[in-house]
Amino acid sequence: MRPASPSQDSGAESASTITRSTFIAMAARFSDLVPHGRDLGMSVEWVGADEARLRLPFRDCLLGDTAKGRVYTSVLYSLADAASGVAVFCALGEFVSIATLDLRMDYLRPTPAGRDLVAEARCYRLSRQIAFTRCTLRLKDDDEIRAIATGTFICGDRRSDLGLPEGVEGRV
Amino acid sequence: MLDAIRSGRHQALLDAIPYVRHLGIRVLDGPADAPLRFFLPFRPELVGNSMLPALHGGAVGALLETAALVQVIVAEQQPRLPKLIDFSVDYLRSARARDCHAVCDVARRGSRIVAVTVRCWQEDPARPIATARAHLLLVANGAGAPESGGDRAPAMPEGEHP
Repeated sequence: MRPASPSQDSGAESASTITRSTFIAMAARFSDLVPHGRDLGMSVEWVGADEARLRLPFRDCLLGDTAKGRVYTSVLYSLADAASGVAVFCALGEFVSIATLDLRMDYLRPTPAGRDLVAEARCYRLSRQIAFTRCTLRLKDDDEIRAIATGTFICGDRRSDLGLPEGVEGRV
Repeated sequence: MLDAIRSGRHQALLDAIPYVRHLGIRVLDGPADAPLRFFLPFRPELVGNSMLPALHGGAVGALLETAALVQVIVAEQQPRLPKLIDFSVDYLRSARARDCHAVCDVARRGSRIVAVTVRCWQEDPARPIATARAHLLLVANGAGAPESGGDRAPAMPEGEHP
């Protein structure tokens, strides 16, 4: 089993079965593999044993209410789904197919335009088939939580069906 | 926004939202009293898993959220976007690399809160790929949407809300 809480030191080697360099390669590869994330401009900023932080720079096409200058809620939804999925990959430590079963958003307050969005997700329970996640969304350099996402994922067959070849570490 | 509602130019409501325009969500014309039919034409940029391939859960979520928001804008004659309080999606089937349709059903109209459910399908309306539910906080409407009387829930307690 893997440690319940991730290392506080992002530079430390994880005690899990997958090396940090593999995580980083996976994170980089993730951006390449997800057209929707690439279209919006998401990037994986950091990963831990069961955590992930994704960033989405602001662009005008992410706006909802233009008069009030607010980011559209679905942008936060997409980022939360993506970040939660990466956190599940990290907890699994294997490249398997996963699918979102459900995702619930609480939109705590509006999100003003102009700054990068940051999503921090954690897979806080992983059973043999199901992963449970939480994700908080903030603006960069801002403590106020804009939205919270709670999700469950089903983890598929343990096979390399995500297109991650052997020797993926070579990308680091 | 109210002009667009009254003249039935529903697509103009969607096009006023930059992210909705970016994704390419459309609203289809239908009978005046029927719920609006929303439509997300497939594009490769909407894919989440290239191997299957399957649409990104966030793209499907955006269609469902937009259906909820715009249906409530029209039904409640909202002068601008109502605020989403919460939004929850159940994914029932993998969303394949095809077009998606969605309709929103208003489950409950309160004086300030509206509860909705949304259904999304691809080829077969009888085989939904996702369902969603949401609560929305209505925007005070100075123009005065007609009160429907009996079917109004008690007002929510006063307080700081999104």
